[in-house]
Amino acid sequence: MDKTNKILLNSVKLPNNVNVDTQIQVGLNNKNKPVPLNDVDTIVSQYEQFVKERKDSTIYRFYGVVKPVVNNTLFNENVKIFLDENQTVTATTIASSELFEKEGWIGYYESNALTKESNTNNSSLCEFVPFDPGYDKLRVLDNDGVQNYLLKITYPFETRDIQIMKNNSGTTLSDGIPIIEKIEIELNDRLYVGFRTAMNHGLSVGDKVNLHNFIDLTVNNSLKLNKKTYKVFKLGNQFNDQKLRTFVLDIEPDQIDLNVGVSTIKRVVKGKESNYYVRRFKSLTVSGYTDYDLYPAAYGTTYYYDNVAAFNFKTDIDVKDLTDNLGRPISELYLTIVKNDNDSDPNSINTQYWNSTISNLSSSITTISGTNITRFWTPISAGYDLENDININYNIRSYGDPNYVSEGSLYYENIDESNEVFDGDIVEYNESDLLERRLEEVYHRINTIYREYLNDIDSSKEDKREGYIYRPFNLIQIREFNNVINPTIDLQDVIDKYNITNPIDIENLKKSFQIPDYATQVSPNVYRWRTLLEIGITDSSGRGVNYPFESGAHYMYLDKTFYLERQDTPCEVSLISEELCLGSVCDPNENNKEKLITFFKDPTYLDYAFLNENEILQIIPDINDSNDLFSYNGTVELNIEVVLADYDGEYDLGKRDVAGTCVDFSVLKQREIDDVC
Amino acid sequence: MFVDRRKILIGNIGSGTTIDIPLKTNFFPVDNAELIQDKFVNDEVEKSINPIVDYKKIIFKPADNNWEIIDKFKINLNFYTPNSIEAGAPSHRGTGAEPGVYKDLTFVFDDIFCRTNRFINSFIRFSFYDIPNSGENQLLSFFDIFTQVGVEQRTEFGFPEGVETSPISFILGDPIKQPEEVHEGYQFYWFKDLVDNAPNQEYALYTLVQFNSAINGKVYQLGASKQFDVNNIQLSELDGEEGILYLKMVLKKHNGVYKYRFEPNAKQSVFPAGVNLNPSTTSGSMPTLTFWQITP
Repeated sequence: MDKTNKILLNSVKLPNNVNVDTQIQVGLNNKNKPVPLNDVDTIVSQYEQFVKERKDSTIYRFYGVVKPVVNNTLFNENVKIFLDENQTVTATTIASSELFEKEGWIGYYESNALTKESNTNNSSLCEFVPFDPGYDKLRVLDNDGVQNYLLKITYPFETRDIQIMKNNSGTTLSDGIPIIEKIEIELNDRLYVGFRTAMNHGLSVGDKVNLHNFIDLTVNNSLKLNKKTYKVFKLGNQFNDQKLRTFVLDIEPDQIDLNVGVSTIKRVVKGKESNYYVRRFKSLTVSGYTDYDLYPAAYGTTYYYDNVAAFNFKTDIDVKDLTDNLGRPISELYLTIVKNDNDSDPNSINTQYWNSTISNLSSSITTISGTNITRFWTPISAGYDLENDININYNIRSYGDPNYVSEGSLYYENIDESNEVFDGDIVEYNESDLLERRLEEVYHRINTIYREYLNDIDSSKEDKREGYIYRPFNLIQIREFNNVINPTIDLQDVIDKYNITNPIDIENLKKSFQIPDYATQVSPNVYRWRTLLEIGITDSSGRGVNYPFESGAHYMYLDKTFYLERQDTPCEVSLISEELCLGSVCDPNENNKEKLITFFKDPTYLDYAFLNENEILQIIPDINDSNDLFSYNGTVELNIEVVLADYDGEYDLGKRDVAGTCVDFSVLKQREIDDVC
Repeated sequence: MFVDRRKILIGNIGSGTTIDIPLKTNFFPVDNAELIQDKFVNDEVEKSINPIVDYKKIIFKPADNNWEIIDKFKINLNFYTPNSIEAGAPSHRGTGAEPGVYKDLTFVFDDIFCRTNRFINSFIRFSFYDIPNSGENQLLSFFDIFTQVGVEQRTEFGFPEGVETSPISFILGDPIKQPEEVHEGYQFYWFKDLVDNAPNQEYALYTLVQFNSAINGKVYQLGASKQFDVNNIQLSELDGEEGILYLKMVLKKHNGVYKYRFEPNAKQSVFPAGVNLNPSTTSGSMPTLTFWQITP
């Protein structure tokens, strides 16, 4: 109830007489304040905040080391390049007796004899000098200040189809893995059919395959090749070799045959055939050599004494909104190493010399397109390490083999380090597995212009078409997919039940079921997918990634080995002997003498012998040195047998100067460096 | 019903008189709990979390006056000669921007020849500050360069020079292009974020150079100029943008490459120049920083 106040009249105290126009202000003061229901206490977890920030961040920073394994076994020529007394760039051939291998590099040691005839001012006595291309063109760390390789970060963004086998039926990789040979495998006194594939088949024992375009030789077509799925019985040939490229089925060999180039297989998982395709990679780093710092790694040398190169990408890589070739969030990036062709100082005498040797070739060969820059290297070609079969395209080891050239073999051509997009690996993807599997890695191939076109430069010499190959793409696994596939979500049932027709409502429904954008729609509004594991989370099989998170970015340390391999290592050696007759009678024009000198300077030279020792001892008893042979001009015939080595690989790639390490070196001569210096 | 009764004399009521009428409430108002939990708390939590600071450091390479990267450079130190100090008139060795010799620091030949601890543990310290005013500035970073017995400290036969002729100089080179040189101190490591977001992508630091002698533990204060009166050194001569004590260093992203260079003030530029990044192309010359001892 309101409070009652009695107010007395100012002038008289009569009850009915009141003051007129007297105003009384009544203040309503309230000192109560609303209070919350209870105390509000919140704990901020540093760890939870870290996890949240790490989860939200899509920024990556890459640093690490590249361990190069490189060498110059595919050198141009065994020559020393120098400025003569007229300041003209010239070269002198280093005799085979002066060739040395040091830590995988082929070259010579500066000696008094060599320095006497030339003066380079670059090397000192007993210093090892590799032949070109040497340290300055092949090492990852190069002290001429011009990098020999370009590092990029790339990701798979699209796919393409290629024709692995030559055929006129339009059969391509998307039709399956091509078969190149049928073989018989005998097991337990029974014959089974085995098939050799052009590339890695990616099969395991027990896997199921569909056979496409095979020939059923049974009377009633009982194999039912178009309807039946066959189980892989065994991998490998009769001797259990070639397991990656040969598989065996429980079919008798005389019941089935194949069409080379057309017959293919596809792996099948729960009724789903795998897809096969080439992934293409796009660069995420665009500024070239300024995207990263390259410097010597502390105490870093490889087993072969090559300096380990450390790198640090200054450019951050943001994978937000990026999707891979399957439309999924990025789970793989690639440290991409590409050989460049601006790796030499144009002012060096070596560069000037090799430029002069190729000056007679067509400018379309010797000049980088759109520039006046003279090439040292051929443009990069690419392919895969496939089976040696004339019908196979993209076999990088066959590049330059005239047999393959005449058959019109295909390769990826004219690749440049500045490209934004590169053709990459061959992968298999199965909608049932929801995983991609890498079957073949791509190789890049380079050779020097001089070696590649040597016969055009000097018709007396054979081309040296064996080049270097390397794998440019190094995997960086930034995320992993769960090993368990999510239970299939059937939205169609819900849509039918509630008769939902509005696309927006369907989309909202999809969100409410937490179906990711990259989920595979196996039938209308039925989805399957694998969850992308958060960083730091591992699944039951141990899959998952974990790496430092700092300054709002993920730091990934990469430790990669870079192998510069021979295209086709020659593993077979044979000895060639040639008989030469010296003397004024049998060699009046001294052609044989010139030939002998050429042989002595050839890197494959091994030895020589007199065919008739008794006569030689009578005529020139003091002859004991090859130099004495060069001055011989007597009337007595001097018959000499010169022995050279001939190295062969699988492919016809011209002359080989150096054998592969697979050769039995006991048949060749070896010398210790101490013998010289 | 209970009410408060009060008598108020009418004569006491004037204009603006107030009467307190207490309105008692016997309940606790409950309000906005949901809002507090959902917004207020979250907002406060958000405010309490520090922003992410980018601590990424990258390499900066030294550049000349034209922002061209230099493969190597030399640091000369010049101290008061012992004889001049003894005579009461301290003076530096030479008249140009040449280095002093190790005898000036009382090293003996055996120190260099045998690499004694007091030789190999002596070093120059480059300290980097935000502003060039002593007492107000903050130390941001530093690095040390230890004594060298390099090509300048050796005779043509490869033996160490005597202390009377062995120059107090340090040659620093690029680890890739100059593998035979000392690399510590050649590159500078600093926060990429600070340079990227600086005006014109230029970020300035001020360098203080000291020599730490392991002979006696003395720290020598050095300046990139010898334009001062040793008998009347004023603080104003040392400090500030135009002082001789601090050498300005500018970090810059130049054509996509991160570089640094020293930018001397007027006193540090006069002959003999303490900073000479673009020496004439005469043989053997290389970019040089020369520092002179300030107080004897």
